[in-house]
Amino acid sequence: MKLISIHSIAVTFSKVIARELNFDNVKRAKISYGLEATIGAIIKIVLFPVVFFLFGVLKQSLIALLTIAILRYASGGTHCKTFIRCLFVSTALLVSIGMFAKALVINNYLYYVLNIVCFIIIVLRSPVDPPEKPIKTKQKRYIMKLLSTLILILLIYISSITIEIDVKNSIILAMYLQVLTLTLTGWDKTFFNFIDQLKLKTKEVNIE
Amino acid sequence: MIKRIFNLIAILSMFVFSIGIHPTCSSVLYQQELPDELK
Repeated sequence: MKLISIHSIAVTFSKVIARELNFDNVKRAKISYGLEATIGAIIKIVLFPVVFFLFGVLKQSLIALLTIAILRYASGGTHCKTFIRCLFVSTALLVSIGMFAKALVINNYLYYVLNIVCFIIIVLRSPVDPPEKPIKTKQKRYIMKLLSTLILILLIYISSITIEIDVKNSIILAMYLQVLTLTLTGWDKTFFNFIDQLKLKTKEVNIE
Repeated sequence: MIKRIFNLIAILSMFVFSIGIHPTCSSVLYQQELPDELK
């Protein structure tokens, strides 16, 4: 089965727009990049709540998604190489977090240990930038480290004052998972190789 | 009319690009590569 990738749709559509509006190649590339990100985001916005709802973990998984998104903005982390991988892995992880958050009762000592581990890893490793788009200045790196530490402290504070156990668990597990992506930089080579074997990768169709 | 719609899409895409270009910003686990023209 051949699937048209989001990338090829975005490139084709950006070429049409650039031709109609007489844009140069740089503007076309920016539109293509923006379109690809937008289409991907729309698919996720539609798909995530539906899957979470089907698994009965809508609230917990959405809280986990929000926690990861906020922390990830400042700290960065490992990325998937294709959109399909991202969709598959993030849906599976978020649903798992939702399920664990509902079922687990995290001991207070474990809660403190997880918070301390998260804090140490964030201070040592953040920000983890992708090789395609590295953070170029030391100053910006320092600002991102400071910002991610502050966000983590805020999340720890929110989780500590939350009374509902499932919400508290969602925040802690999402926080811990996000922090793990800062450390395991080689995990994609082993874990994603396994996913590739499942033949989930899309094949690009040449539409030009 | 079509030009207006294309203009709107172009502006929105540029806006998303300006946010998405941030090194650590991503949706969840995926960040597409920069096109060759922008490297």
